[in-house]
Amino acid sequence: MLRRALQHRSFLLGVILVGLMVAAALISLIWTPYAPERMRVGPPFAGPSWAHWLGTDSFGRDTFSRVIVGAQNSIMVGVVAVGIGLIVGVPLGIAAAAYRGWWDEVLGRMVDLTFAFPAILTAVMITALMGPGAVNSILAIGIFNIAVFARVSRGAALQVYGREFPRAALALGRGRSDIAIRHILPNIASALIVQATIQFAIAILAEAALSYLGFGTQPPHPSWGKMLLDAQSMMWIDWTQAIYPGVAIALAVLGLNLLGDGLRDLLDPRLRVFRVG
Amino acid sequence: MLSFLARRFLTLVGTVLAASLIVFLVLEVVPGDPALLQLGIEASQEVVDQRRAEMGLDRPAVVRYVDWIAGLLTLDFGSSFTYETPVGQLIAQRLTVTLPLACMALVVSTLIAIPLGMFAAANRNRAGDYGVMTFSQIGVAVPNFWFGILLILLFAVHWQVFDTGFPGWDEGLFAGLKALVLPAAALALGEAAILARITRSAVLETMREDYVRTARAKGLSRWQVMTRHVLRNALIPISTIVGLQFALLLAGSIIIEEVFQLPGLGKLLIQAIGQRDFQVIKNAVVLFAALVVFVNFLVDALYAAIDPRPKQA
Amino acid sequence: MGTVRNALLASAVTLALAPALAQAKTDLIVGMNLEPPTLDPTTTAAAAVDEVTYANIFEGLTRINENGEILPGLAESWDVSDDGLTITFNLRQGIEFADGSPFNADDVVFSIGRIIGPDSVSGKPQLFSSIADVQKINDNTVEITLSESDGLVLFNLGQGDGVIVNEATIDEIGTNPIGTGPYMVDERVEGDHITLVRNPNYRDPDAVHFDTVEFRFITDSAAMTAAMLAGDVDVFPNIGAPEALAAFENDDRFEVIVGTTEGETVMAANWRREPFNDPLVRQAIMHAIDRQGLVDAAMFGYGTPIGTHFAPHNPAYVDLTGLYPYDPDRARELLAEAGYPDGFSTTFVLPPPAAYARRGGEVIQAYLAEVGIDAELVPVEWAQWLEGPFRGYDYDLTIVSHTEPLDIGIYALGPDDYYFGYDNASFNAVIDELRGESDPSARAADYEEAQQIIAEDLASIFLFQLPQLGVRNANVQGVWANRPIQANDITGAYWQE
Repeated sequence: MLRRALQHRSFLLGVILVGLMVAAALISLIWTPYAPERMRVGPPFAGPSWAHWLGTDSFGRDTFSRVIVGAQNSIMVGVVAVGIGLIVGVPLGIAAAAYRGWWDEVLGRMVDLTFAFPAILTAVMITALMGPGAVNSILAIGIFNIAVFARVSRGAALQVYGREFPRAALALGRGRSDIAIRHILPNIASALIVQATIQFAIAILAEAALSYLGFGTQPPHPSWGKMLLDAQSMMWIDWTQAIYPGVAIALAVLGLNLLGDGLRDLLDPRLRVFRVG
Repeated sequence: MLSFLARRFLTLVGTVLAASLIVFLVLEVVPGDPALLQLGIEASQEVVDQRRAEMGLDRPAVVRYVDWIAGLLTLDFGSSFTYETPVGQLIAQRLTVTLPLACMALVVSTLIAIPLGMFAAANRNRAGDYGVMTFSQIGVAVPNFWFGILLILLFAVHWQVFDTGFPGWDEGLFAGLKALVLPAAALALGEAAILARITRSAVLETMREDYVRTARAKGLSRWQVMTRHVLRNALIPISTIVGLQFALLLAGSIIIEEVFQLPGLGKLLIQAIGQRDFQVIKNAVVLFAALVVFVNFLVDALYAAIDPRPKQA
Repeated sequence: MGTVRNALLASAVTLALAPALAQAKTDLIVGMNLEPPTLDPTTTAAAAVDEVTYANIFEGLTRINENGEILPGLAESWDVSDDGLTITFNLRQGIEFADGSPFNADDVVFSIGRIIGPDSVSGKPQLFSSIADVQKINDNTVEITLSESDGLVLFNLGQGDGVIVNEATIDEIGTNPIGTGPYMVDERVEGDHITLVRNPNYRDPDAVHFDTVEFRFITDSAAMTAAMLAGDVDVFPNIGAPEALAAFENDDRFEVIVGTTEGETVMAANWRREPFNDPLVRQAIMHAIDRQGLVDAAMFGYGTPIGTHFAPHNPAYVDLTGLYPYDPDRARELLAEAGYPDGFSTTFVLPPPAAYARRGGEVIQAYLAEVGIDAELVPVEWAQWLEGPFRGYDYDLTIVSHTEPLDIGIYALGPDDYYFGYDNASFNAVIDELRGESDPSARAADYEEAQQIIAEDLASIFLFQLPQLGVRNANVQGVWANRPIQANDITGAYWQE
């Protein structure tokens, strides 16, 4: 397994990119060149220099510090939004596969209904309803993830339930939740891991889009999407500021997608990844 | 098959109805009074109450919901709080931007993606294939709104050959289309990336089929096989994806219209949310949902027509 | 510079050049940040409505010029009685509305009648609260009676909220306004533009410089800059985003407009709530903020710091910015004295305007953080701002620019009727005195005293006077630089070729 992983070049690239993002976030927890929220640490719109590696923004804040702290924000959004999807969606999906019948039918309708709204539209409506902010945008993305994981785990679990051993376990008098945890969950784990990686990437993209629209993370906390929004309005003065946050988003998403595809190849090449955005 | 389609259609109607109920309930609890917003900071409470009554906001929620749905059935969408003009007219006007934008993006992404995917499949595991797959990975990873900003930086700020905004179709077809080129490109990138990948795998799968090998054995050239046999059959899965992508492109237009300041449906919706123009919000959201569901239905119908095996909903 | 002179100048110029230049430009494209929701300036407070319709479509009895002076409008003259309670207007004769119907005293009685009294439909009824009655004397004479002396009524009648409307077409005024001005609406594409064309029945066709005037609505500052550079927009009289000016400052093809507005930008700190009811805390907040630094960072240096609620270009203005100057050490001391040695946490509600509210909010947040006050930013849309802070008095800190002229009286509205929650009997007495005072120097003295009181009390945290920022094609002349009222009066604008 390890040898195969080491030979899988795009998987390795994914590991490196995701590792960079995590490293940036961890380092920025204890050290940044300047306080990321502090204004006038340099002149406004200063170009790249030794003092300010990526220059400064319109308030004279250090852009490099803000970009690496922005990684914390993206990782937090991804972890929580995917976590919500897993914790709520997977039990729902497995239950639907276990009980079938009306429960399955109702869940299927709810999932269809969620997908009837474009994800960005749902997120915009939710943040407009509950007020813009990091927590609400995470919830908005999380709700969408619930539907994704419910569908994926239902599909995967159905296949497992179709096999011999869960029926045997049931006949032996094992409880349904016991079977779900001991037999079903381990067997759908690879599907969930791969899907979680992809959803992580989608969550980062969605949060950036929401922040760009002004509904996401609020100042002074740096977020890549909000940095792009600010930079766009200043692009006639200094266009370089519109580059760095975008590169950061693209690299993070690229890394996660490569990681997800690589994991699928390594864990179970026949897995179908579910992509909705 | 007909009963399958009929069932799917009923589901479609049910989904749209449920969507309308959700939107309505959400707007019931959203903070912000549209009457107050319209009248501004100096208006007295009596004037505000009177305006609320004029807007019909003083009636019970159930009555308003039933009224709205009844109106929808007769294509009467009510009147915008903000502009005091019919919502149907507003939406129709905005669709003249959003639909061409989505269509253009669809055409661009299809024209890029299908040749790329075929090329990659034909050169499987060679440099060309890796090149296409790299493009695909990058295309998926680059956020479309950032790509839009980059296009603006290059073509509108640096070279100044394109403008942002939309001149209107009465300025001529060319001016209108020109204004949609950059937004359509921004919107198309991600979809082209996905479609190229799907085309590649669909073509690869078809090439494994027996009749393709037979055709090749009969001495047809690689190119002939590719166009006559492989593409024709691979087009079935590809076209369903293209259908699904149309819905995604419509959704993507929400943010792209914001980036390029295009007066389309997405911009109308974002603006209406800011203005608490419930009339516009609820109709626009349901329209988006209905379009998505309807496109899915069409894709299902197409699939059912091609593949007669019974399907589960 | 009056509009009349501009008009004369303009026709002289065009006449002189007419033989040389075969085709002078006959259209003007005006950019605006915000779109008017309706086209009836009398029933809404939205500034954008006045900015499209005032003077261009609708005219009032009086007319306000670029410098805030009161000129004759549809009334060619007026007489004020000795007690100041009766004003007799002599109307211009031979004027028609855009639909060809004649203008006379009945239109005035109708128009004024609908914005006064308890059934007023006005978006700003308090502007006309002193008017008790309006009577027709004859077809060309109208008499307005006031319930109390009001030094501002002639000015207010010259604002967009007091214009003369047409009774026959009142039902469609919101979408197809019929006025007496030089232009009328031709086409409206919601969310995009409104096109005006010549009013065929306008009294002085030669003074109308353009065949079409298009108001184009562009919210995004980068898109504004692009549209101006590309020549898609000829003039942007009021560009909300100072950063958009950078591209024009050194470009000969464009002229940057910097003028004054009546907008006092203040941060309200809710008097009803702890700890903002403590004068020491208010002083600490004021000492924590470098107003010039705020103007530099948020407004790119455009704007004048203020120490009270009064426009610096007004002769009665008193500069009180030195009262609680920027001094973070003093701010920390005051906080400690007030019982907050480690500062405190609060929330700061920001309405939509990008430059002064959102960017300003970020800068103020950073200043407050320096002295230990942790302010969480809560951006809201206008609807929520009106319902929450403004009507519901539900806020700790919020920022807004008060753009009504001479509105210092809002600090006398008391805690029950206004969101500040400020209450000072001696200030209220000064405002009462001012209301009955018609002698200009006595009025000025009252204004000065009023400014002093709210400045010392820090009734609000006074920040800066909002500048009027715009940009125009260098060949467009006669565009207002200042903004005494909410208007884009383009009747005096013309192309210099």
